[in-house]
Amino acid sequence: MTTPLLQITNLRAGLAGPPPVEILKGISLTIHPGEVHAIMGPNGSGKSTLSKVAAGHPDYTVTGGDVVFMGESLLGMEPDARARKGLFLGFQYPVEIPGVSNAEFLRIAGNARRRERGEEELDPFDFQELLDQHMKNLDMDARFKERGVNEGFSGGEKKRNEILQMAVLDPALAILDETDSGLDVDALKIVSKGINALRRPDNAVLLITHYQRLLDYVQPDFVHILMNGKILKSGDKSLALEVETRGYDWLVA
Amino acid sequence: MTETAAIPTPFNMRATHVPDVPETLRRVAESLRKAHPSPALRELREAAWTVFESMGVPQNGHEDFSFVSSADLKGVLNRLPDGKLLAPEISSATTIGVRDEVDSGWMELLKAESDAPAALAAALAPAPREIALADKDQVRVVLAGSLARADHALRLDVPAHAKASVSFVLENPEAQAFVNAVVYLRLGAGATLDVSVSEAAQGFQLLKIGADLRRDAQLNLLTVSTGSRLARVSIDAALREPGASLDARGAAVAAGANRSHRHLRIRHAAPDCVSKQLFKTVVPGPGRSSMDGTVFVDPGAQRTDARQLLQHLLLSKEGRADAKPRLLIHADDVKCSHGATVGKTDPAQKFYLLSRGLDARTADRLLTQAFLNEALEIFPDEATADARARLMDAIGVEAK
Ligand SMILES: Nc1ncnc2c1ncn2[C@@H]1O[C@H](COP(=O)(O)OP(=O)(O)OP(=O)(O)O)[C@@H](O)[C@H]1O
Ligand SMILES: [Mg+2]
Repeated sequence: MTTPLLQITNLRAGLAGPPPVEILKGISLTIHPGEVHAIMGPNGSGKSTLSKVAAGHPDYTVTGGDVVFMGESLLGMEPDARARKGLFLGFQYPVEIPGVSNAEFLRIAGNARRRERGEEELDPFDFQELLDQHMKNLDMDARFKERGVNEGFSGGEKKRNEILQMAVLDPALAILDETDSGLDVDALKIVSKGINALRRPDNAVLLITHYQRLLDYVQPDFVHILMNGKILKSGDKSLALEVETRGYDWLVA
Repeated sequence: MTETAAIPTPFNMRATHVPDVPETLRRVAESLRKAHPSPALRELREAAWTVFESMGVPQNGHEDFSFVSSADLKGVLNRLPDGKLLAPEISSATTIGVRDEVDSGWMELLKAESDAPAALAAALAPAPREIALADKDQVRVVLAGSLARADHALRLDVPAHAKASVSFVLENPEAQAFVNAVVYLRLGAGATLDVSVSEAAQGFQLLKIGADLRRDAQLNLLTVSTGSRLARVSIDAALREPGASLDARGAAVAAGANRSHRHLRIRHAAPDCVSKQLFKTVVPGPGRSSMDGTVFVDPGAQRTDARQLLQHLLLSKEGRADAKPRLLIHADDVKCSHGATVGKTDPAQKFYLLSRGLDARTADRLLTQAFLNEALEIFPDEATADARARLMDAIGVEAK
């Protein structure tokens, strides 16, 4: 068996307070290269918290367990170092950063990642070409390059921009937090195509979603149900279908 | 210590206030008036001196100088000129007319002058100038300081329907140098003027810009500063006739231990005028910044649209930022807003950039740049590239 890409063991995390609030109450999850995992769960169960803790968000404190990514513990690693190592978080609510050009930001980010991998940085012209290609694949208008990062983007446009960033950064593990929410039917297809195009035997995807529909396009190998800070059940794709029809209540009963 | 007789504080400071007018300056101003043969110039200097005399050197606690060090202010304003003729350097565009002689148009400007250093600049300026701009003129004016003092007084007239641009450059040769300038801009009906002001990186500098806008005139103004020992720009604009519009912005960095002071007085004197003020200052270290802005809406100035925003980015604990936004409205049908913000870079935005692999320094640079951008984007990128680089340099991060 290959070494896991991500190994979360008994992770406890939450808000430092006061008062301290535990949100993740002992989560274990292992993701191997080549796999697609999906996490589903009711609102407020801790899905976004898990993704942000993995990315190193300063709002959260880890009180127990470990998160090991490509053989190295992420705890104690700065968020930017995690990203350069190959961890990508597609935000549920991407922030707007007026005044920072989307293209400029993407180029700096892309080159930081390339440096980390020992690859040569792209000059602005080569980068333009790469960016144009990715944007074409995602059916994004060229004017999004010149706008501020997410500035005035519609909900769906923001999600598409997250996938564009993912494409530029070419991460080893992408955690996509409700990237499908807010996408119209066609956009969902395009975004799914974008995700699938990036799949390789040496990388992996963790999808956080409320809807079975995304999983029709990006087929998961494993589905986990997160409730109240714990993974209550794991299974294959059929578990997602079951949730779609039965909801979550039966799991706690 | 039994005899600590308390000195009674005057109930009304103004009533008992004796203007501080240095005797040596009085003599210099007088001899300057006598020396010059032109009656018009003599008249200008006399009027300016009378105005200065009624105010004197601004004292500690003066409302318009509340954030400025009064010791520094007194130190430089009391300096004597060294007799060198320091004239403003005006780039020779072909169509502009520069007059050495001055006309009586100055009188009303000076009589209304409420800024003491500005009045003193006009009283002492060895070479007051009038510039008549023509359509499409692009003029660069260098206002240089001197180790003693250098006073400049300028008047720029933009004729009706002309469109022109001027850039003022304050230059100080050394850390102890001082430049004190007053510039009056008069925009005729339908005229458009783009003004950019860039300040010296060191020394003491006081600049007052008075602006007078007639019907449908449009003034776009950008001040760029990296602060200095004493750097104060005061903008006093009057929208005199309907349809006039003002867009005034500032991008500044109080670099190191520098000070940067912005003083804004915008008067809506007629109905249907628009004014926008957006001033942004970054205080990266132990520097100090103040932004003091008031919008006056006169009775009868209906349908005024005035917006004012004074924003500070305070990046360290040692820095200090003061903002005083104010609206004084005497008309009822108006749309006015004002506000001031002070804060660090937005943590959510910063985390977003970090989560894409940008290091903290780069993230801060982008966010700081973005903060200043909103002010800088008043003019096209090419026009502000130098300013941008200078500002980023002052924050201590390289501009990209
Ligand atoms: N920074 C925070 N401050 C206060 N409470 C927080 C914070 N972050 C998370 N929480 C709380 O922790 C719980 C889990 O939130 P989280 O965002 O992880 O839920 P989620 O599973 O992603 O929900 P949704 O499906 O609605 O996106 C919620 O009750 C939320 O209010
Ligand atoms: Mg969530």
